[in-house]
This record gives sequence, structure tokens and C-alpha cells, in this order.
Amino acid sequence: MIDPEDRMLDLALEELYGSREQAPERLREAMNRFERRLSDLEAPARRRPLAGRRTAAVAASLLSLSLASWFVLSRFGPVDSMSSRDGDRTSRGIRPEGRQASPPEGRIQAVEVGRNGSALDPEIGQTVTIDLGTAQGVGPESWFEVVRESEVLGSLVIRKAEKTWAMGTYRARQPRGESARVGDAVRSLIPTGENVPSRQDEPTDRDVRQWIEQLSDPDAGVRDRASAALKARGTTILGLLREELGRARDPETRARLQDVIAYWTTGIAARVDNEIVKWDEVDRSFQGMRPSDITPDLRRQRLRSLVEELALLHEARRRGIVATEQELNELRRRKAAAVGGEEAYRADLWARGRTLEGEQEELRRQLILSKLHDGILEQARVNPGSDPFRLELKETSRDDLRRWYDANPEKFAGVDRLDVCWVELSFENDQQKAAKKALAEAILAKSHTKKNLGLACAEVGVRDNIHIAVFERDRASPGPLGEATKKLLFDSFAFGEVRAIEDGSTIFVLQLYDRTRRVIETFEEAEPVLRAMFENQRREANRKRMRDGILERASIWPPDLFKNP
Amino acid sequence: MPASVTRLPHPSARALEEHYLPLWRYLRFLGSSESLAEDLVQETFIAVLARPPALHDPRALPAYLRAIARNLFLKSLQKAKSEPTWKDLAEADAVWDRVADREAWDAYREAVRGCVEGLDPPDRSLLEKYVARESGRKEAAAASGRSEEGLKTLLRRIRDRLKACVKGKLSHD
Repeated sequence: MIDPEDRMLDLALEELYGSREQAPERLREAMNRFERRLSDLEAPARRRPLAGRRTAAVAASLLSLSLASWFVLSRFGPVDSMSSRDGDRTSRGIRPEGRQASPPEGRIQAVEVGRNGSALDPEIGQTVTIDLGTAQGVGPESWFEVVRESEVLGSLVIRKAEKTWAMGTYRARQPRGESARVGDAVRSLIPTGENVPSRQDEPTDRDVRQWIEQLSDPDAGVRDRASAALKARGTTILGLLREELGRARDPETRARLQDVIAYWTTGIAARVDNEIVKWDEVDRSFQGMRPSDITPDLRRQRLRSLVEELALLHEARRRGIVATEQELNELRRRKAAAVGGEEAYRADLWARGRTLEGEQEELRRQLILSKLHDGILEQARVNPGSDPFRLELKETSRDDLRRWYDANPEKFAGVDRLDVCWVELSFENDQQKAAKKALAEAILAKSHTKKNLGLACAEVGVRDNIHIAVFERDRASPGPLGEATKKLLFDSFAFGEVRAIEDGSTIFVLQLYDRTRRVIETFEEAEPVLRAMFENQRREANRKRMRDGILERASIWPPDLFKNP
Repeated sequence: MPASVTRLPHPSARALEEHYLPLWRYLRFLGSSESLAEDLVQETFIAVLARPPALHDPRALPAYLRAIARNLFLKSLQKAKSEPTWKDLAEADAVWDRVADREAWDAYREAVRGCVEGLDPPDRSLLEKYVARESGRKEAAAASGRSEEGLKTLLRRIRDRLKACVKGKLSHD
């Protein structure tokens, strides 16, 4: 890990003594390049020249809009779910089975996907390709990969990549949203070209050894990149790393190798099915918190919630549940309306440090989980016999509600309750009375500015004989206040009012600081609230049963993650 | 909810020019290569030009740009399946905040220059050559009559001295 102070020093030294171009020239050139790029983006897509790999990616994103009713797929392979989660749970790579995906030749054949027509409704294994025509930015080195399929083909997210995985994420929309049966069949684009270079996805031993050599490179950047590359390889190279560790003499190489090995042997916090959650990810979710506040219990709690969410998302995926763009837009629109419009929504996101994209992913997850819940409930209603979660589906009857109402009359009785604070100033003679009266007036005066009797007393130096009590109308309550004083409180005190009242040989300075009034509720009046309460309880109980059931069925490591408190 | 939100006037590419270098530098600080940093600055600008942000205060624009750039950088790491080289990005950001604006960076760089000039001539020459990549570690080690490990240790010490010196200079200023 780099020390920020070191990195800052490096940058300053680079600027002062580095051999790269001087900043002003660099800036001028960069801005020119940027402006050229902007004008490229504004130009019609077909005339747009390719000005670099990122420009190509942006060009492809624009192009993807024109792919609206086209759909890319061919042979299908398993989901590459062994990869570590990279923060974007729904857009992980999906790799074809048996062979490496390789880029297509410039032209890719295509067929339209539509409603249930045989040619338009591909079977697994059928080659369905797409004619990219004059597609700019798609060359022999380019290829597409389907990474997430939508429900009923409403939309597809495809990734375009050049040699490496994923340059960007683009949406190819299926405008009519028909065809409901392809679903899980959509896996990956297999290129049709034969004479295309293989994709170099898996590193060779030579690559790995080269990275290991780079661990002692004088340039910290090279060393860090090599470490990161080794970390990204996963557990497959652990044996080789250990071998190299045995041979390595350079302390930095040794330390970095140990770090990578530890990363893959100690950094794994949990596994759900074949997907892992790393402690890094757990810790990232605490961003903004003080390290001292992050206790082991809190980390474990957060890990549980991440694992739980992941297990539910896996279950949703198994059931083919996805969030369509339309649903997402609708949810987003509602959220924006709730905070006062699109602009306020963005400002709110900004204030919470969220990006639109991050928020969109969060909404997508929420939506999927909500659809999973509704879907399971619906399934159980339609076919109660096959409900594995034993959900409670029966509505609470009116008789049950009535019974509960009758058994808890105090919850529906009329109430007039006062919360009162007072200070007692006792006197024995006129002289004392005058002094206490002056004191009471001082407290009263302070109360007007402080709005709080306790604070006012503290201000004038009165610390004793300050009391707080609750009085209910028509209910006896012991204490120094006489009935007349209590009646005054109930009948004439305004909320928050402070008043001094002489009662026998005491001056009371009283403040009414809270009042609860409720009339008696009949069963008919209370029924909607009662029903909502029971419904909530039932919903929560069902949610818990679903969650427990799904967690039980999921393959989770460590097995005792949810067992220990 | 914020009390008032003002939308920035639609920025032009030229209006963003002044943010180019600071942003590029910030991305380099985060660990981007020079070319990736350049790409990401442009991505950031495109994002802002496409959707001008609603900010409480236009002075927040640099921080807003940094946030976008940071996210893009983290995404690029995810895509490359790399891990951030920071133990704590928030901590790194806090360090960078000290030099984020141009004047602060210039002051910092000048302090570094002053401190380098104060080094012993052999150390200074070694550092300058090394930073300028005029010699690799092996050559530099051979030229200074040290082993590679020895050279690494020496460089480490020089850097520590520089950091202490810069800190002192900046606190005096």
C-alpha cells in the first residue's frame, strides 16, 4: 500500500525533474485532443473518425442506440461466477464454455429477435448474430459480450472490449419489449470469424513471472501494477506464487508476494454459492466512518447483510427476475418526485455523496429484491402446496381483530395526559414569601427567553426541588400539587406555557411541556390501524421466513455466519 | 434537503481547462498512469458537459470533478480487476485536499524544490537522475558503488528527509 505523502512527493519530483513534457505544452495538447474528441462526438456517427480507444468506446455506445431491435447471441456458456465481486454485482462477465471468446471479424451476421417467431426466437445453441454494418469502432480486435440479460429482452447490456475485458457498458434496447422466452438462454456472443486472434484473457506462467519480476521494479507504479495484476489472477496462481516466494531474495518482492498470497488466503470474508465477498468490500462500505467506530461486530454484521443480499440476488437470478429499464425509470421518477423533482433529487444524491450510476445500481437491487419477495408471495398464493417457505398467507379475520381489540382496551381508551415540570419554592413567612416570589418572577422572566424551565432555573441558580411528573385527567396522582392547581393545568395552560402559582405555603413555577389527548376509539375506528399493524407483522414474518429459507438453501461459507450471534 | 441549489452555467470545454492539470495530477496521485489519467480527465469533462451538476456552491466544482474522476478511476480498476493501492482512499483524499488547489500545489512543489536543493550534492544528483529515469536502479547502484538494496534504502532515506524538510518549510510559511 502506498503512503499518500510519498505519492505526493513523487508527483512533485516528477514535475520538477521528470523527463516528460512540460506542463503547459502538455495541457495545450491535451485540451486540443479533448476538443477534437468533443467535436467527434457531436459529429454524425458514420463520419466520425476513430481517435483512440476511448473514443472508439464512446462511438460504440452511440452506435449501440442504433442497434435497438437487434440482439446478439450464439452459443451459450456458464456464468463466470467464480470471479470476485467487483462492486457491480449485476454486470459481471459471462464467459463462453469450452473456448475463449475471441473477437469477431468486422462484420457480424445478425438476426432480429422478436415475438415467438422461430427465426426471431432463438433456441439455445442457435447462432444469432447481428449485422453491425458500418459500425464504427468495431474492428478485428473488437468484440461484444452480453453481460446481463433483461427480462423479456426489454434491454440488453453489452460490453464492448478490446483485448481486455470491458471498455464500457452500453445498452442495446429492444424497443417493443416482446419475446419472453429467451431469458436465461442469453449468455454470450461467440464470434463468427475464424481467423481472428484469440482473446488473451488468462495469463500465462510467463506473464505471471514477469509480474513477479516487476515487484522489485524501481518504479513504485510498476510495482503496484504488478501487485494488482497478480491479485486479479485469483487463487489459480497461488502455487506458483508460493514457489516464487521460496526463491525470492529481494525484501520488497517477498513482502509483496506475501501480501498477494495473504490477499487470496486471508482476505476472503465469505462465499455465497460460487461468489466471494472480500473483507475489502466489507470495509469499503464503511467509507466515511472513523476507523475507531468500526468494531469487529459491526464488520461481521455488515458482512452478514452483504451475504444476505447476495444470496437473495442469486435466488432472484435463478428465478429469472430482473429489473427492466422502464421499472427502474418509474422508481427513479417516484423517488425524484418524493424529494421535490429531478433537480432536488440530484442535489440530494450529491449531498449524500452518491453518483447517479451508483444510485441506479442500488435502485436496481432494491427493485429486484422487492420483485423477488412479491414473486415468491404470488407463487405461494397460486400454489400454496408447493410453498417451500411456509408463508402465512391468510389475512387476519375481523373476529381476530375484534378479539385483540377487546383484550387490549387500554390501548383504545380516551386519554388526556400532561407532562409537567415544576419547581417548588416554599416559604414560612411573609418575608420569605416575598423573596420566593421575586425568585419565581426571575425564573419566569428567564423562561421566556430560554423556553425551558429547567434551563431557566439553572440560570438563576435554582437547582433543587425541580420535578417532572405525568398527570392524567380524572386519575388521582400523589404529589404536592393541589387539585385546583391540577385543574388549572388541564383547563388553562397552553402548550409550553410557564406560570407561577401560589398553592398553600408554596409557590410553584410550572411548565406544561407535553400533552397527549386521545378520545376513545371504537372498534370500527380502530380497525384500519389494527389491520395495518397485523399486516405489517405478517409481512415481516413472511420476509423473515423467505430470507431464512433462501439462506438455508444457498451454499454459504463460513457455514456458521448466520448461526452465531 | 439543501436550502438552495444553483445550477452552474453550462460549462464549455475551455471553461474546464483550468481544471485539467489539477485533475490529471489528482488521478496520477491516485495511481493512474499518465495516459489513463488523461483519458479519465476527458471522461470526467464529458460527464460534466453532458450533465452540468447542480451544486450548492460553484466553488464546489473542483471537488465535484474530483469525485467523478475518482469514481471513474475506481471503475477502471474494477474493469482491470485491479485493487486500489490505497489502504484508505478517504485518508489519501484528505492528504490530497491539502494541495488540491493550484496555489497550494505550487507552494508544495516549491518547497520540494527548495528541499532538494538543500540535499548533499551526491544525493541530489542521484535523486534527479533517478527521477528523470536517466538511469535504472542497477546503473544508479553501480554508479554510486552500492548494491541495489543499498540504493533503495538510500533513496528511502532521502525521501524521508525530503518529507520532513517540506513539512517544516510549509509549516514555517
